[in-house]
Formats: sequence, C-alpha cells, structure tokens
Amino acid sequence: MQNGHNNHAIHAHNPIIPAESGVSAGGTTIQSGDGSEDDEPPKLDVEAARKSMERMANIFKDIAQHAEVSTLTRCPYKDAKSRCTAKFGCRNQHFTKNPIDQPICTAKDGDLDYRSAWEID
Amino acid sequence: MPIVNEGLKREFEWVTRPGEQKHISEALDLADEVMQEIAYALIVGQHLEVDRLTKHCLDNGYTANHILDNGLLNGMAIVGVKFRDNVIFVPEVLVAARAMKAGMAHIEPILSASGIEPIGTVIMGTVKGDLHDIGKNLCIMMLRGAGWTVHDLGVDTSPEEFADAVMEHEAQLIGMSALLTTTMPNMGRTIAYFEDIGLRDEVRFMVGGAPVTQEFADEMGADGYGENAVECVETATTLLDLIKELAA
Repeated sequence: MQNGHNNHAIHAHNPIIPAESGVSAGGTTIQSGDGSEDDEPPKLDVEAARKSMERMANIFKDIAQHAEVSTLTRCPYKDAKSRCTAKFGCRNQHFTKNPIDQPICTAKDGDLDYRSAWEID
Repeated sequence: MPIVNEGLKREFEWVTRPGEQKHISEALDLADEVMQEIAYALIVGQHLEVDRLTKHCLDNGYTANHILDNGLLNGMAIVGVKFRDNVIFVPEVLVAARAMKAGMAHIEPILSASGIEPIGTVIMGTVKGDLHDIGKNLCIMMLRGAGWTVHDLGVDTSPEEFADAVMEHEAQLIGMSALLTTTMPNMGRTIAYFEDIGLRDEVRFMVGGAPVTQEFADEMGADGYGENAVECVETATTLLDLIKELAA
C-alpha cells in the first residue's frame, strides 16, 4: 500500500486539549464546538488536503483492484468469519439455530461458479 | 508517538512488509492517542465511534488535515493491507469504508469551505428487482474516495426513486447496477422513464454489473459503461466533463 504520499499536514501542536478550554496547545484561540465564539471556518492547509485526498483515492483504487481479483474465486458477500452478508438467498447459506445469526457460507474458496448458487427469483 | 492503543497495536501486526511497516509506522508516529483511536475504530468498522471522535476532535482544535491524515487515512491504509493479504474480505472493507464516510462527513464541509469541492454528485442504485449490491457498494466506495458526493439508493430501486433522488439532490449523473440478466432490462426501463417525464436530457446514465456489457449499455441508451469500480470513476469523470462541455 505504498502510494508515495506521506503525512504532510501536521502543524505541530499537541492536540490533546480539554473540550472546555477553547485554546489549543499552542495557546491560540480555536473555534468552539458550537461556533458561537468564532464564525471563521476552521483552518485548512488546502494543498496538504489535496494530497491527502489523492492518498485516499490511491488506497481505494488498490482496494478496488484487489477486489476484482479476489471475487474471481471467493464470493464477495462472504466475510472473514465465513458468514454470508448477502441480502438475498443462496444455496450455500447455512442457517444456524439462532435466527438472528447471519448464515454461514458453506462454499469453498476457489469455487469459480459461486454465482450459480445465488437465488435469482 | 509509539502506538499506545492496544487494538491498533494488534492491527499493525498485520502489516508485515518492511517498506510498508516503515511507511505506516512513520505515519503513526504523528498520531496521538485519539488519532490512534480513530484509526482503530475505522479499521474495525465502528462508524458511530469514528463519527463521534472526529466531531470531538474538530470541536477541540484538531485540524481537518491532522484528523484526515493521522486518524482516518492511517486506519484505511491498514485496511488496505489487510484486504490485500486476505486477512479481511470485501464485507469488512465496506464496513470500514462506511466508518470512513462517517468521519469524512465532518471533514468535507471544511474542505468545501476551503475550495475543495466535491467533483460532482452521483445517484447510485441497484435496479428494481435486484438485491445484489456489492459491486455497487465498491463503486460507491471508489467514487467517494475519489472525491465524489454519492447518494446511495440501495437495492431494488424503482425508476421513480431514481428520479426523485435526482431532483432532490440536483444530481446530473446516475449509476445503475444489475447482476441478473432478468433485471438488466430495468436499466433501460429506468432510462425510458426519465424520457417519459422529460428528465432525460438533465442527467447522464452510467451502468455496470456482471452481465452488463458495452453493447448492452449502448442498446439501452446508457451514456457510459464501467466494467469495474475503477472504471466506474473514470466513466463518471468522462460523463461529467461531457456535461460541462455541453453546458459551456
């Protein structure tokens, strides 16, 4: 997940601040929670934010690309605990006795034709 | 500072490639305790906690840059590593993406106020009769990650619901998804409905889903087709450029 963008936007201050104080660690007045003391919008380093957005897009792009590959052999509705998250019926769903449990997915990973088990009516 | 959040410490153990370890650990060095809490809550998909912590931090003087970089993105980077290494799968990623969205809901107004506006607005939904949503959800995750505002209508979406959403959100773009050959024609019916109510010229349609092809998209009168989530963003961008060109 290397994307070439590190954290750029850190204006060194210790951001652990009591909610009531209204004063940053550096001593400058900050916008209060309800905005009543200061109508100015919160400050933003625009260039750094653009780079952060780019970093976010890159992270999601990597994820989407891996999803393309992984869904060839593993049902995308099957979670890490092999539970089925689909909102529709599937022949691979095994329901436990507890009606509020999510069904277990009984398909083996590597089944290329898991889609054929999905109920389409 | 070192990782003090026990949960995050455990999560970081999944990052095993030396280069990535260095990169993420350097990023986490800048994350104080509460940023680590945000990162951890995001990784495990606690969207309410991410929502609460992000708001709390903004109210208490943290910059949006700081929260974005050191809380939200650090968490999402670890999610990406875990997904790539098959520790977690698509459902867990989508739950983390929902948590990301909860945090971004507080950050986005600040970005907008500083001139970083959303690229555009898209209405997304799986068509009437179809309950398959994972492809659509991945597209939504990608679009949001790329800076789009997305209104998700969920599954089993009627043409009327698409039209209502377009009017409510003044969107110029609709993304429709279908997984079944039996529901694919509902994409064409939705487009026809927009023609019937005189809204067709106001919006561009992009379509996708496992059985959908470029030929089918052309046949039903869609404006764009994306084979996967990455292409979905590219298609949306192309269509938006086209809309802007036509407006100019």
